[in-house]
Amino acid sequence: MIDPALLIHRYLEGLLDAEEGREFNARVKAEPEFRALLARMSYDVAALRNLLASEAAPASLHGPRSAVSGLRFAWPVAAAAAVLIGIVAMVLFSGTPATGPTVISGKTETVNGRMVVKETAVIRFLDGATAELESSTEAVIHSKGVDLQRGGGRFRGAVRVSALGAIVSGGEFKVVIHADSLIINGDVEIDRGGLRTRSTGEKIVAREKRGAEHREWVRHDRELRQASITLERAIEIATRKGGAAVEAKLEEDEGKIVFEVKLAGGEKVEIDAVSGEEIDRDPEKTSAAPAITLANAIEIALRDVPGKAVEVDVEKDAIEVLIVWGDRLVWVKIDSKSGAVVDRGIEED
Amino acid sequence: MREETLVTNIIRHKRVIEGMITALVADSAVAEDLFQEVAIIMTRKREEATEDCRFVAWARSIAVNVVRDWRKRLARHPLQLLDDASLDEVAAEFDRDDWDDRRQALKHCTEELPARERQVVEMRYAHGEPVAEMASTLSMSRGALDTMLYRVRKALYMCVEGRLRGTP
Repeated sequence: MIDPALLIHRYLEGLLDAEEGREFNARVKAEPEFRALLARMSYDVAALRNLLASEAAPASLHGPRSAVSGLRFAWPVAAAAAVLIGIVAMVLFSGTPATGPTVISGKTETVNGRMVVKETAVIRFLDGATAELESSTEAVIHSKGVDLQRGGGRFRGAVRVSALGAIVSGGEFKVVIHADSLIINGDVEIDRGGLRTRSTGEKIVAREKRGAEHREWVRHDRELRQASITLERAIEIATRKGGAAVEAKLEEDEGKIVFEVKLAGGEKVEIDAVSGEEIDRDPEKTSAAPAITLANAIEIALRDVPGKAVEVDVEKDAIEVLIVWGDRLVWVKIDSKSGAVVDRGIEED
Repeated sequence: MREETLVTNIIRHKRVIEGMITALVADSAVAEDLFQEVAIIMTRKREEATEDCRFVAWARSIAVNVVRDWRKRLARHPLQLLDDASLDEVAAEFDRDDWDDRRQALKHCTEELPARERQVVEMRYAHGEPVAEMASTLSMSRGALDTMLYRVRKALYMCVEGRLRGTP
């Protein structure tokens, strides 16, 4: 039996081999002390990163090195510290006016011309506007604006924030990049390729992606929002008169959202995705039915990936279920005889 | 929960939440990214939490779901070392109140490290440098560096535990 600290160290360093992996998981399940040790050693990794990073990081732009980074502090203390640092910074730089944006509090690093925020940082622009960037934000700071590449923050004054192809401006607002979207809060103007709109409150702006996979996800997501029945229910409706489904998918047909279900007997049935009514039934050459039903396959797939099924298809030895899961399309392959999940993955361009 | 309370709590418990995620994903860089996701979700759901809620427990429930989502996004990669069934149990280990004492002890112990060992810890944990690159920079074999890292981690751990027991 391996020393528990060594086993956990190897786990955290990604060094476990298969046998060690089995021992690791068995001990996590069986030994409360082992779980507690795992928690303490994992905490140490996170704490070391914060402790040492805050001590090692150089000052960037014109900013002073923060005296509060890495310390535990309550919000009022942090706010007071930020104000104090701001005052100290103003005193320090009163004789040598800054020529560009200045970091007045927090901890940042500059990597290849990009600012990486290590601890929440406040940046003051020459006209007095400010950007309070969250920890882990990555951005390029210009004289009058911020190109956000990751993370986000709160902005006050005439700051232009560009991210994911949009430019946001306003008096006081918040912008955060989340996955492929911008979450914007405040009374703002949003410029997307010259098309300007105003927004108040929360606004979510999705990145314009040109990948085929993303377009497919957008299409399915839109169709799902309009549909009032599920793929499973459509299969149930289509097979009421007998026959086994061998393929089913959600699609738009001449402006109408429908489920198209193909039956092993050689038929294609269209179900209105809103009303759930059968709207068409035509002869169609189809394949043979698998050992397990498509409804079963969908149920198994959705237990594996809890999203919404939009397509199910019989392949050689497997049934493939396509699922809208969050902002991704995920496929799950089910063994058509045993019903076991044999593979899964994210649809890629 | 008011935004100010939320921010206060996120700042206060950042390391605990990051440590929790590190335990679940075994990758510091991924843990940092997922922490951001957790923080964003908490911001969006802050109305669901009361001012006096157990913040780490609330964060735990969100973090475990974020980790599960992340694992699904990696569905093509079979290497998921911590069993799914253990995620909740491991995350629950972080629902304690003594992490700040541990951080203070760790700070003291880190300051006491010899220069070379401190450099290794700083390269690996503060800057996230891959061990292979570190080995090249430090002119050490990969195996020797792995051993050194473990030795330093264990020394730090023993030092921290000693301080927490009052026997530094």
